Amino acid sequence: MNIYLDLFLSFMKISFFTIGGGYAMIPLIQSTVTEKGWMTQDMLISFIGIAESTPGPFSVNISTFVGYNMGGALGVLCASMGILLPPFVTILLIYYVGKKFATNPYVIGVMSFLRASAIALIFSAFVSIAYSTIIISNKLTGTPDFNWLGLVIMVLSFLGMRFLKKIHPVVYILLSAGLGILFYGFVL
Amino acid sequence: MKTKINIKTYLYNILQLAWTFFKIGAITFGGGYAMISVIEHNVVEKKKWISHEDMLNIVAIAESTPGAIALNASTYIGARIAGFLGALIASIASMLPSIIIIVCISLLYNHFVDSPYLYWAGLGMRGAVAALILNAVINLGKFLKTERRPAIWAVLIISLTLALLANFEVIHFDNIFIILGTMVIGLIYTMIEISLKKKKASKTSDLISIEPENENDDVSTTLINSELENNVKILSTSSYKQPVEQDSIVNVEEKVHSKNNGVANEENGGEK
Repeated sequence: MNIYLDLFLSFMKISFFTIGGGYAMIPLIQSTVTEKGWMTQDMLISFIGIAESTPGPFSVNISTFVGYNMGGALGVLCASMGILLPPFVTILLIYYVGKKFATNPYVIGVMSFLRASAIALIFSAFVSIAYSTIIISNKLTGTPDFNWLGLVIMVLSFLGMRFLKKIHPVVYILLSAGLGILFYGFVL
Repeated sequence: MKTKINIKTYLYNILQLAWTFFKIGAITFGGGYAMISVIEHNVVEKKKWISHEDMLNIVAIAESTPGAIALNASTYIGARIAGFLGALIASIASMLPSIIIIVCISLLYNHFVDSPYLYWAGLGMRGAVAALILNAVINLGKFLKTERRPAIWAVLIISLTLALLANFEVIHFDNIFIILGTMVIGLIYTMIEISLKKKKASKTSDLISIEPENENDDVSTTLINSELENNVKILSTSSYKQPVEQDSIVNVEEKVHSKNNGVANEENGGEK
């Protein structure tokens, strides 16, 4: 398939099936970009960190990144139009046709189920990201290594995010990137 | 003459929209609910384009429609201020800052892609990203504390099993089918639930003299109220920074009541 059309359709699909937005998008993005070979799992995890440290919605950040790497400026245009189209069309329909959409009992009922499956999907994304954090392949031999530093960073930043709510998550991302350079580059 | 002035104000509004949403897109880190509080600050408090109640309504719509919450909100507010063109301008303006920044980052990234520093930084970052996602799961999962319907828990467990199996490639399976399946199950469950409530309502209707044609509103009102409370709870417990004022919640609830006919009000009055 034409790469531009593929970018447009793939991101439209991701956007359409992410009801509620935010991190609910990650499992779908994960399966799409890794299966199509647009990004590796490791790249995607780094990019989630980068997206958290830059302004704007995550979906726009990732669609721009993939679009630019795969098809330059036109790729960016196709991917971000794919992200925009589903919310744009649904919201205009609701605005002009059905203003009571959010209070419709059927919508509310389906939403309470969708929230449950969204949690399941995001949790499964967490499991695979945590796995990639704790088990890394050795750069020289290619064998799997236990990454104790990753585990320590994960536990500490999680505790920080839960109990020190005044500190923005970006701080943990930047600190852990710095720690990574320090430890993997110079200490270990 | 009159139309000329209208065109002028229309263009002025559109420029204002573009600039406001460009700024919102440029200063919000992390997206999602962080964006909602920035939109509230700029659009409700500063520009006074929409009311706080409208904002609550927009959040409710954004939560139950496809796509990023920020794009939903900017499209809706744009349409409210300046119609179709306003919606288009506002949503594109809110995307532009991240597009510009990410293109710059991509250029840098491709330049340094082989640098060991980038590899080490990325490796260190993984733990924090995993923590970030787990934190999001816990924030989103707060509603489960009060969730008593077994069907919801069943959907949660089945989705989790399927998602994990697909994730580790035990089975080949597209995540979208989990979402589609959930929609179908949710719709069937809700249809059964509503028809059961209708039956119940028609049994008790003789006691409080509700006319048959109002039953539908009765059911939807109780659902609306519980959902509004739910939303407000979610908003006040998530990263949404401005605490929702108690008065305004009551206002919205009253609005909902008055939109339906007197049935709900009668019932509420009776309870109080």
